[in-house]
Amino acid sequence: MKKNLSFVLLVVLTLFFFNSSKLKANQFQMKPLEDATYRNFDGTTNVERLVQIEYKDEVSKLRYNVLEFDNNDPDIHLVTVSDYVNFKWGMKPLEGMIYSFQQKYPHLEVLGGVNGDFYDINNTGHPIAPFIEDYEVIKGSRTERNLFIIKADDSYEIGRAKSDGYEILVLDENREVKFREKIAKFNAPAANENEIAVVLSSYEGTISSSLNPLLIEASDIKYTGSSFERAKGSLSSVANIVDLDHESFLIMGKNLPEIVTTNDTVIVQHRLKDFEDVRGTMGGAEMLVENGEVSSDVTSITGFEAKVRAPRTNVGIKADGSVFFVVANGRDEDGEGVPGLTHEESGQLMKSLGAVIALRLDGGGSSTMMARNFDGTFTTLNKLSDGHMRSISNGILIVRGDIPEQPLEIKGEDTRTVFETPTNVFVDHQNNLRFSKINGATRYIITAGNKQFETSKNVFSLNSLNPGDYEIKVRVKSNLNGKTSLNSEEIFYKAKHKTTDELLNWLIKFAKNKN
Amino acid sequence: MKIRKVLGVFLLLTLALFIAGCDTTGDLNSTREQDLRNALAELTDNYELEVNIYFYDELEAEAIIKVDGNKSYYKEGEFVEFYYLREGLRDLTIYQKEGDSFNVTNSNDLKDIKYDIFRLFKYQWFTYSNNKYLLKEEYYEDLREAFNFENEEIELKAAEVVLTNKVLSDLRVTFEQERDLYYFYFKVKNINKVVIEIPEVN
Repeated sequence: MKKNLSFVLLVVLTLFFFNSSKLKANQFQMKPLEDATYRNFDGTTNVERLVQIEYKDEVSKLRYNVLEFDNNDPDIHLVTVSDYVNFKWGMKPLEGMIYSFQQKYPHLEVLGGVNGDFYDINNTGHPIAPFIEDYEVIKGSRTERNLFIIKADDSYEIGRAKSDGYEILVLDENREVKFREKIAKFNAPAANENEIAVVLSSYEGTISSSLNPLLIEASDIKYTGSSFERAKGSLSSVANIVDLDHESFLIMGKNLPEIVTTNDTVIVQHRLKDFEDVRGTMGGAEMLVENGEVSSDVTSITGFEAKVRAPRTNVGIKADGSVFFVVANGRDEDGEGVPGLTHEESGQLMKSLGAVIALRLDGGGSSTMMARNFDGTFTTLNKLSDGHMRSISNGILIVRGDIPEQPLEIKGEDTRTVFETPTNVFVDHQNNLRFSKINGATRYIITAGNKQFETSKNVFSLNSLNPGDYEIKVRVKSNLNGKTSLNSEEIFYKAKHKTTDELLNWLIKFAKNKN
Repeated sequence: MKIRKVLGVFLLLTLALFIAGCDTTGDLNSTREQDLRNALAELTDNYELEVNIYFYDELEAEAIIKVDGNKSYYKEGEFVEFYYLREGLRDLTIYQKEGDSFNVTNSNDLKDIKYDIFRLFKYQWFTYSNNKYLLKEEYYEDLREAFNFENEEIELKAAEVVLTNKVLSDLRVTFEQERDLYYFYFKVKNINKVVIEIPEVN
């Protein structure tokens, strides 16, 4: 009896140890191979780790970088960026996109960024998933793809868009939505004057003039293959509908001729359900983490695909709503012996770093993570597996400053009054434009030559202007409290080279101390 | 014969002495130095500077500085204007124009003489040539240091001083940064004639 009991106990114990070691082998484990490196950048923090990962009986070396920012800082935002050519798409390295963004918004500071969606790398460069940039749906097809979603209130989600056909938006010169409606007929004439229709140059039929079509001169029209993505333009003041060509389109229906003026911007784009307040979307592949657990999207991958290791770029959202980015080095077996991550390991890593939901963005040679140093230069944090920065379709940037707001849409009767006009406009010795604060104003629009800037404060640095002469005026931007004010009186301002400014500052010190 | 020789030697000596007496270069140089020294000494606490800054041949900024005892004034362009009233080493009142009014603040910053460029100048740094006093190359660093710019990358490439009727009338300094040239031209005016009236602020 005792012998039997001992035998059973031995079997149970053996099974226990066998299972526990198997369990341990199935647990994702990371052992540091060197001390983590913590770095503070301008507005972001980074930690870089070299670890040994053990998972599912496999051991490999991993070097990865985490990039975070203060999600509670109201001055720091995420934006999606691209640098597409009008009427085409395009590709550019992340550092080129940062440069272009700074050229477009010199008053904003880019603090860092990562690469974005998968894309048509061998041809046009168009992104695969729906792509929203600055509240405009640049690409709306392929709604089955997962998206990292950035909302107007700086909250974030990972999910999918639902297509609801196409829509037309008419924005006035203050970027206020005058008109927004679903398009009933696309590339076909409206059945009656109550239908909104859009017709492209590829339409071969005739359009009755009784539908009062308007010719819009396009600044951009985009397709993926033969599939229409978006068009943008303004009402032609000279041409008529017979001039319709591949750089124009027709809109018709409702009372559009009474609504649209030559100062307006007309946008035709995919209508994505409940995405009006979305500032940007970035497409990805599998969900890595869902509800705090590694997603079945990656645990269910089998065969060769499950074993592939490569550099990875992932975005994760923590339980408190904060966002972080991770880039894992890879394809560096001959260098540091770092092969990269499998998809499932990516999910495990994101979960271990606190993500309750995470998405895999484009990786491999596209993986890029950059952070801005305090002197304004940028550091590339990951080792680029191509040996150089790859041209990509789009990216996500961390930026500081007054980014453009969501276009305002007044529904129902507009009872707002016009804001007072800013007065006492002048430029101080530090090149700050100053003007009177207006009650109820939340944003001001500064026009300097042919450039426009939005600011929430009544002090605005003009140091980002290139040297030259500028005529400057300010107006209050419309909001829910009031309509756009008139422009202030114009002032003349000469933007100088930095050295001239330094010499002038020296003169001020001379005057201050010479008495 | 002997007398002739003695007379000849005497004549030669006299001639040599005469020629030596005629070499006035040393005197002239010291006069020029003295002129510059006197001109610099004249710039004490009452004068006006008209300052132009050029980026190559493009006028980028025009400023006016006035000094009147314990009061000074700075104006640049249409909007930037300061009055300074010092009533003690650590008692400075600053009147800064802000649009259509002046903002008054008090500062206890100690008077910093390192910005008083004309007092830091040494007449020995310059050599007279073609009606100008040119900064000697061995003193470029000294004058650069006297300007005391925060940006160390600004290099001094040349400097000259002009006296008109023995009064310092022009200072022209050339700076270089990132291979671009900036010309810092000072015109000195109204020595001992400046009157500054501090604006009345409610």
